[in-house]
Amino acid sequence: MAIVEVQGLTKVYGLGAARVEALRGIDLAIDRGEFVAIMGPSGSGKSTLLQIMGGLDAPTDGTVQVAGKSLGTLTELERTLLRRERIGFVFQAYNLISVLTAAENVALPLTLAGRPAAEVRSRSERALQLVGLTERGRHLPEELSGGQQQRVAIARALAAEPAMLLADEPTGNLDSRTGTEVMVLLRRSCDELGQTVVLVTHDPRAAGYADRVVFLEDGVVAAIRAGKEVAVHG
Amino acid sequence: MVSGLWPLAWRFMAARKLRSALSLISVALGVALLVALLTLNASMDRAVEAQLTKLVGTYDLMVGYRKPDIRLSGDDLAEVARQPGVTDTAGVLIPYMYESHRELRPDLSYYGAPDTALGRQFMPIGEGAFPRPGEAALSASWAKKAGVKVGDTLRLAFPPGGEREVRVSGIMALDKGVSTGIALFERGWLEAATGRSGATFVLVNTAKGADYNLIVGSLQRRFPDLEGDVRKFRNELRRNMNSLRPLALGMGIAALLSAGFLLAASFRMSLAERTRELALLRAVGATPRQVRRLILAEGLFVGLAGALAGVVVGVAGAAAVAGFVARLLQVEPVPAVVPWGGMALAALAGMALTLLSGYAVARAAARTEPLWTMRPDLPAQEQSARQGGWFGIGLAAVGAVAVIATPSVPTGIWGGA
Repeated sequence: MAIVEVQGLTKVYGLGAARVEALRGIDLAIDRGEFVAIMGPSGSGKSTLLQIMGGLDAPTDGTVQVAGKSLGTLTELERTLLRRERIGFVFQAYNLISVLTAAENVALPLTLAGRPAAEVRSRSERALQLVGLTERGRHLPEELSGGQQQRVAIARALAAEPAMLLADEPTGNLDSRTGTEVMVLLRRSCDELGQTVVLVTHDPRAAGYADRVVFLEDGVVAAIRAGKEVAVHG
Repeated sequence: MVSGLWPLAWRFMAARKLRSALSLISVALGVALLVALLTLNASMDRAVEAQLTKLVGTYDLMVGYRKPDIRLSGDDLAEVARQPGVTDTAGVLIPYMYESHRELRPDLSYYGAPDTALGRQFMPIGEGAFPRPGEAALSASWAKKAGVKVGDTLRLAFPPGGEREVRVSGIMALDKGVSTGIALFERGWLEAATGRSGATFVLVNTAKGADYNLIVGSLQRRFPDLEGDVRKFRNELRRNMNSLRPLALGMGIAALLSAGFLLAASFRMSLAERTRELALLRAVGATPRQVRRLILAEGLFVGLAGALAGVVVGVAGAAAVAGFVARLLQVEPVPAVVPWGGMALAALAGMALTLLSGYAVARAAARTEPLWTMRPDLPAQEQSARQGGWFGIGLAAVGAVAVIATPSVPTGIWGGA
């Protein structure tokens, strides 16, 4: 059953001579519990696709359904609530709140959702445990390595038990060993928790952890391959 | 673990020590100066009133006849006392008004006032005491010219009777601008000595906030030839003594404007620095309303701490301010008057100024796009922040106008009674 359905998705930036078609009629369906990687050269539209699927940006044309809800019909508040309840984000730059501890960063979406304190605590502890950072919960981001910060970001994304986790170049700032740790973690969340993961990456090794890899080129789907195939052939 | 917006706001504020301190100092500065200004105002009121009381008494108005053959009888005086808004009266007799007697000294006028609290306010005694029967208090310039001092004895004529010896009981604090000298007697004794009874005019004290002109009008309907004096002389003195007030207010307003500028600038810089952080909050599920409330909560913390600090600094400086006022006005130092109600208002005004300045920033912050988390190249909220800055300046100006208007309300000094 598809958790994300994209049909005829078009995104245009600018007007006149500055007009850029970032996406041109994308059709894509992602099943629940599936791990999909989106690859493509710079400017191919992969990050734009991720942003629209995450309700961070609005399409120019076409429809996007996430967990049965059509993003085009939602108000700003409804899109915010959808992000909070149903979508987890992992960014290339980690994007942790510097003044909050690792545990508090993980708890942030739950806190904003107004969940009871006990639930916030238990869920964030479980998420930190999942990423192997139970002992680091009281540390500020600046006291953690890049890999640890990205694991905290993953824990934050998983804590709310979202329908879909969107990761934008999560290994982009990490060395290869730490990047591997992060990808293993994302794969585990998919296998063990049934988490749907959508990953945008330049790195074929990272894409190799996915079930499917969608190749974008000039705003259209150029090819779709199995993740293992991409990993082997690079 | 933070478990709500308030702890989150506290953490954000506490983490930005320098920025928070700058905002806090701005608020504290504004509140402290407002408190100092109110203290200055209250102390000035006290000093001026003390000086006025010493010089010209405290009665509110005077009504009477300017005709030689009409005086207010005992019944008339009782009727004046019964008028709505009148709280106390004291009848004063001028026995020889418009009369010419060879026996009388041409440079000395006689007045008789009752030995009551209000009667003693008619011509406050600077040295000595209010006259008892057989005694007189003299105006200072006349006493000086005549070479008379307290304790001396004078022989004065009281036509149609003969001369009498009177003892000088006191010297008046002020000559009240009259051209001739004044001899003040106890009224009952003067009535007996001159054979003229009743009161030429009446000193009247009124209830707080009473309209003097209404009372005078009401009395004039009952006593058609009665004339009223709403103490222009005292008000002119009061105005002169308050001549420094605009300078003090000007300083306060300038300081408040500076505080408003600082606060607006601090908030503006804070917003520019936090664009990415706010975008992240939006991306992970903070609603625009939550972002707005978060910023306002931070503003509340800053405002509260700043207001408290401002009050403490203001109170600490109150004594110095009062001493400064006394020196400026060349009056006797009076204890610093700490206007607690005014201070509470100043603290509230400081908090309100912070919240209102913060509101412009909060509104701009609530418009932060979550997409900016992933697109750091997008323009920051400079325009909104700039608008917030102008909003803050506008608020400071409004605050300044409020400061100008506020002191005149409780004191009534500027309005002039």
